[in-house]
Amino acid sequence: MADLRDAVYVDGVRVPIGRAGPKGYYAATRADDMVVRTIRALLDRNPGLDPARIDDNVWAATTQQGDQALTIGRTSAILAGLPKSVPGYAIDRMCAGALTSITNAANAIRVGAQQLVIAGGIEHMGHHPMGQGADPNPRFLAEQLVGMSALVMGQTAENLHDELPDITKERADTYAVQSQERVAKARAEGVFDSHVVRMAVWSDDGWQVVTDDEHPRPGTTLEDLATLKTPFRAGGRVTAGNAAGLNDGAGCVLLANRETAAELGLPARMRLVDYTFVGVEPETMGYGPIPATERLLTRTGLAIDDIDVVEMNEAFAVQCVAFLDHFGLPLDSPKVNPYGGAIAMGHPLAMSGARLTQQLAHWFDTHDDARYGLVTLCVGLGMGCSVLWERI
Amino acid sequence: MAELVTAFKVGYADSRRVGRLAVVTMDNGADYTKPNTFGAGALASLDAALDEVERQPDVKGLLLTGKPFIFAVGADLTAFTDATEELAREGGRRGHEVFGRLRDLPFPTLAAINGACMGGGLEIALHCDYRTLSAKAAALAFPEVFLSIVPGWGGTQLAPRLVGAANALTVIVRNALDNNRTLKPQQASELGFADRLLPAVDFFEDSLALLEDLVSGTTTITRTPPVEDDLDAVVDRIRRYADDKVHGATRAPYAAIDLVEFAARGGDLAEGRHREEDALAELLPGRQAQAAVYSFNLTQQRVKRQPWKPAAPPRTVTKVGVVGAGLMGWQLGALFLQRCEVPLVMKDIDQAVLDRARQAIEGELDTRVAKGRLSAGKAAFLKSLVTYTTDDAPLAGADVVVEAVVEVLDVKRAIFADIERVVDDGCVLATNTSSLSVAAMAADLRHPERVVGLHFFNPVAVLPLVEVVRTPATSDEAVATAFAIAKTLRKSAVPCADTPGFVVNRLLTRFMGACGEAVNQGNDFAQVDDAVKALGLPMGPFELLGLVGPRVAAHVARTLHDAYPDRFDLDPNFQMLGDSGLPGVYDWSRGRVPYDEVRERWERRAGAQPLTDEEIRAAALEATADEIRAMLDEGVVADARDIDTCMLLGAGWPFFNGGICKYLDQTGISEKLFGAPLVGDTDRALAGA
Repeated sequence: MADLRDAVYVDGVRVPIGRAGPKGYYAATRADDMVVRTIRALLDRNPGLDPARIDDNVWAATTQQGDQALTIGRTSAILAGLPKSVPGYAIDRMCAGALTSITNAANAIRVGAQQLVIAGGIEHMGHHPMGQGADPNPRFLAEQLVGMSALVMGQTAENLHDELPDITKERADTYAVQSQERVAKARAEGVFDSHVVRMAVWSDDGWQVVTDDEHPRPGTTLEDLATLKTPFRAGGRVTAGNAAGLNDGAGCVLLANRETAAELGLPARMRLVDYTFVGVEPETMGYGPIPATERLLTRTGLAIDDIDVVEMNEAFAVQCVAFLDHFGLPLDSPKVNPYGGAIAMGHPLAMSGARLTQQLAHWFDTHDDARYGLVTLCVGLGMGCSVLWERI
Repeated sequence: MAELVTAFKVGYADSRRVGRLAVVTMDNGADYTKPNTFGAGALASLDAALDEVERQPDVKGLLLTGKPFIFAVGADLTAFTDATEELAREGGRRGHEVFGRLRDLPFPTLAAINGACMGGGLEIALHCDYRTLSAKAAALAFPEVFLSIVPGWGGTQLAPRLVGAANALTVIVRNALDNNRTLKPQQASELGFADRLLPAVDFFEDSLALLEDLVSGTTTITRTPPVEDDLDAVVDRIRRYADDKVHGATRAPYAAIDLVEFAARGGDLAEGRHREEDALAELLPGRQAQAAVYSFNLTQQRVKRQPWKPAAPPRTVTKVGVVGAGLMGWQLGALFLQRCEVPLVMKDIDQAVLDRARQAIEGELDTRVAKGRLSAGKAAFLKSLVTYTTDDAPLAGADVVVEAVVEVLDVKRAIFADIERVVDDGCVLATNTSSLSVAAMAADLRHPERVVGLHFFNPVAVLPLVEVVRTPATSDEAVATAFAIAKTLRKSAVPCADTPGFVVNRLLTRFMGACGEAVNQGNDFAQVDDAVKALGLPMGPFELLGLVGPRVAAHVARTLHDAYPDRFDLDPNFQMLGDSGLPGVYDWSRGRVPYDEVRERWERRAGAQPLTDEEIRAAALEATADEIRAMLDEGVVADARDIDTCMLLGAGWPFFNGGICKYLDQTGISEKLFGAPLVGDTDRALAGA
């Protein structure tokens, strides 16, 4: 480990998150155009970044078909006007797509193979509904390798409620309302302006300029949430109000070797310390962040109290409350998702890791006393991941 | 066809920096293959859009742009046909009124020219305060003068104010008359039409950011007025250019020059707009504009849709043979090689001819490499595809063989018989004959159904027409293959019957005969050329003769005389010229002066009186009309429209005459001679079909 170099976060951008579906922001916009928009914005914001020096363009997408096909890391490099000498590739780890782009890119930098890498994630769930084109092996069910519910994310969240009876629907809803409130506050304070770039999108009404996330429902109350259906189970606890949405979005970050960043006058805002990916039971995939984070803390010799801020994906409120309970943190812990999360903002699967990392960077920028921050996600088919960053 | 209405769709971008910006998108709801155009419906939509924007209390700026890949390509041509003077004037007035509202908005306006931008599209952009231009926009142009009208929605008045008279005239007049040449974004930007040339990838976002900067005042745009030559000289130069192109036969370029000159001399904008309306009222209902729209529809729609194409699937072409490697043969070989990129066999009986063909074909490839249009590796590969041979054997396996040998029927028959011995039964045999009977060439073959005429025009790389000739025996597959090949070669194919001279050569020969007769009557060659050019033809008949070659012309004339002795005299003067070995009538080393030998040996009729210019034109036109009538009666083409297409694309006759049939109808010659117009609206079967 001793001769690893520092992989540092320089900058990150994303487009506003839209709602999937025919009325959403991006209904008539190609996924690859969204990717290109973020790459162009990254170049625009960092004039010191000579595009010819970019060593790779790494992009994750869960469904690599149609406008997300053809190795989107390469197609988007060409479409964005990067020199043809810049390569790219595409990867998939579902919800942890962008986070895996980031750890892959960081590793290439850490071992010294590359110096400047764009890493991101795209998911246009309007064009590519979850599971599009998938053909699960019949052995999964015939040999009971996973339960029927493992492939339906909402059912895995109900399963988690079953396993953790202390997490009632009321607590989940309370957490969801808090997410909406925190997002509304952060939006008013301009937090997202630090990394959200507007995009012109085509629609039946001509060109529209999208500037803000489409998904949040500010002013949502517990009473509002109490009226929602529980689509995954009669009398269940999981609703559209305490779960992430189905969304479209693209986001990426620029990672650099620390010396290269200094050479080019690019800001080094935080360094990647370490990360873990773990597997858990697919039927309760929302449990993933807990063992991932436990293992990461053990490896690094840190305790949860050493962590100043956690950016956690909010696939389901129950998954977040489980994490908070496990680490003995209150439901309204100020250091977990201080700007709210995916329940309000939406969750374009492979993109979310980029958004969480960008928000962590913004937190560090505005909190001089902070040192360590975590980004953590749960992943379908039972995985969890956690990435530790240190403020520079 | 009804107007596909371009809607002006209003949206708003709430800028964090400067507040509310209106975003107006022009969109006709179709994809880029049907570009945005402006008719009455579009103008009403713009009017309503401006009402909507003006109702908003807090708009700080406006961005106008188009649907993906298209800004707007000008007026809706469907409204032009049969437009009256009143309609034309009202159309101009309405455009001025609504575009004027855009110009008068009290906040900064920016046209974000994201794609193809022509005519009225460019005019609406000129009504905005600022313009950004996508570096990948397809083209910018003022095509109006090409259609024998003028830019009539402020283009002639605003363009010179923005870019100066010389640049405005280049685009409005010179480019329009130069085969409707368009500007690439870089060129348009250099001429001053855009304030910023921006990359396509961020074009909208960067344009919006510029508008924000202009609204907030963080950016100001200052334009340096172009350094102008003396206006008199500029105007004089462009008038002479127009004379050279149209010889006064259409008023449009001259009207456009006058309008630009008026603006450039500081003319009042309101008065300039009135003058544009006057010009539209005069020109749009006029003969030339109506003919130009007709020509446009023929070449852009009828030829592309190919209503005559058989349903049979064409044969896939994986190997091509060209027999006869002379001037025509090597040009065909070069074209096939570069467009089809399949193995090519060049066959000739003369090794020296083959050597020259090889030099020419490889030279053409090398030129493209030198210009950076072809990689050296690809050129080497293409060269490797060609076999130059004096044997027939290498033609085995060809899917199509084109013969371009000397115009002697027995030679062509023998060659086809030889080829048939080596190729398989499905191979299509095409002849590039300009006047011989295709059926006679095929008669003795085992498979006469495979023979089709594929008549190209010299220079092959330049002239876009191919006459596709089918005989009564020709199979649908062979004809379908001929049309498919024409498309691959990017040529416009018109079907015609197997009759001597087909369309273009037959008409030009009859026309030429009448002109020759005028010389026989005592007129000068140059006088006849000039008299005929006043119709707007690109060159006079004797100038053209130098291009075609007197020997070829004499041969075609003899063939036509043999076929139709009543209408095609065998003028000994043309035969003399053909036999003389001279390259034409004129000795260009001395200017447009006939060779002494021609002057001495050309026999005039004794006691004949020279004709007036008017009489020369009348005689030439009536002879042409007579021949067209005969061709239609004979079933050479499906309709007179196809004769016009051939003359537009194969002879370069002007759009503003609609080829020739349209002109004869418009000027009453058809009515006088036949009591009815020539141009119809239904297609009839070809002779022998």
